[in-house]
Amino acid sequence: MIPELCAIALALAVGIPLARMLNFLRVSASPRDNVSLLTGEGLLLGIGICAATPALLPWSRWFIVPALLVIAGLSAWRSAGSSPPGPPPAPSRWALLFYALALIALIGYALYATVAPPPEFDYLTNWGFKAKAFFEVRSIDWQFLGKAIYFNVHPDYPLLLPLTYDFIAILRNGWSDAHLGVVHVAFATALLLVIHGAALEETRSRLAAAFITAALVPFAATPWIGLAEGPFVAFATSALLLIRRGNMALGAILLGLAASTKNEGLALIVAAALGLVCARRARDVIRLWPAVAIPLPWLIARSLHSLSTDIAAGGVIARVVDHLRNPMQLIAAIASVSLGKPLLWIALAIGIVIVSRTLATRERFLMVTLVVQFACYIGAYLATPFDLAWHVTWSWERLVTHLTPALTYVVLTSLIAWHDASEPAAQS
Amino acid sequence: MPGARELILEVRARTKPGDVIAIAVPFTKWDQGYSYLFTRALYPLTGRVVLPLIDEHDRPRADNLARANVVAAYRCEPHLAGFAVVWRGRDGMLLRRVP
Repeated sequence: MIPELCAIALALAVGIPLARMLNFLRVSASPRDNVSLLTGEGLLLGIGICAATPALLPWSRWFIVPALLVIAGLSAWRSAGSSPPGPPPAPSRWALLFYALALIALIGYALYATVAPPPEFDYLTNWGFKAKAFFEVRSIDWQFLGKAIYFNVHPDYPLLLPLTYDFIAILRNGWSDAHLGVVHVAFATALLLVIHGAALEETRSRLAAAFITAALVPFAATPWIGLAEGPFVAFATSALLLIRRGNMALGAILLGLAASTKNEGLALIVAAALGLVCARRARDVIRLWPAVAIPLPWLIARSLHSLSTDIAAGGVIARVVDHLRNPMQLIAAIASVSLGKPLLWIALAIGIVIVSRTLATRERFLMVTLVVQFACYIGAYLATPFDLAWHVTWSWERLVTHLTPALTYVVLTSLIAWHDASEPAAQS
Repeated sequence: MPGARELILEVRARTKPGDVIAIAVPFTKWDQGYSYLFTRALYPLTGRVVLPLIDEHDRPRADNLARANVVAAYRCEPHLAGFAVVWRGRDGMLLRRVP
């Protein structure tokens, strides 16, 4: 497991100074960017940079590690003037209990993720398959992508996750999938750190931040080890939370990394832009440019190599029209699949009703973004060239997890704000 | 499929990058066994080109056999003109195209 841990250490070494630097460049930077927020942002940023190195440098640790150390050194030097994270306030006993719960759950997740090599079908035929095939030739194998004969290889899918696996293989100087699940634990931890940091700044309460973090562990720790869901959820949720707080530079970069992880991230850029417009933050739309710039080289390369995209295969409009004529087909397919935990959805629905006014006004950016993204998923089903029931069955549960963490976070913080506001009134 | 993983690992050990490997199994339907072994062979056999001998509509793919220089056969003994058995194990065999 040493190469996996070295990869995470390198990601932190590169990412944290860069995150500090980007926070320092913010016009409205908080002088007390907290430790957990900075570490979470840094880990996500660092993993993205580590994954980019195999696309840019020779596949040798003697090139890649020094290059990363130079980046880490330069960004540490550049961010030297920025204010260090503020001292954390002392946690209460209840907060410690929630921290312990979150930690125990994360340890359990780490055991689950690393008990065996990733067994998922999509890992064996897509994410891991591509990574392993690239490592055989020590480069992105465009010929392999162009001639993939099995549909589930999905040559049009972005390469951040396969290249993350390759980054670890480069550090090891050999392929081993025994502990690749560590990557997913790192993503889950990074997201939880961002959630904790954001909640701490927003609620100014250790207890609330600890509770929200513990409550969101099941969403950050996705069960599909080896697949891109966990990394995508981490990048996308963190991006939306940062953009929501006005941290456009880092948020847009993480949004770009989400789009470099799954094609759904491209739709999320459009959704976030619409969310900003609806939240009367149209000026911020232009500041999303890193989100477009980061996946752009892949999109150009994908186009130059004519890599097929199944959803956009010929006859899209005909398929959409056909599915719209028979909407019951889609409704029946969605009704037949699991929505996850019914109690969670009931609790979330009650929460949404209680704080509906806040969600419609103060949280308009996030709510519009999530609604537009959900509409994009429905649109993808309408355009699918596959059997609709089959497509829904094998993707719905995963797609729902893309949206749930951000929705749950915003409902919980709104409920806490509502409770805090109503309590003094009741006391008076 | 008992022994399938061991067979595929043997096939990897006895082939080299660039080999074109066709997968032969006793099942003639894509969704009734063939796709399971074919898709599970992709990951262990990276670096080689792995081809199916039937398609998703259960149609034989003679063109893929013509491209292959190696056939990995799971629990079956295909008699293929131009191929000779080069290795035989408990759960299958490896055939290689003869010049």
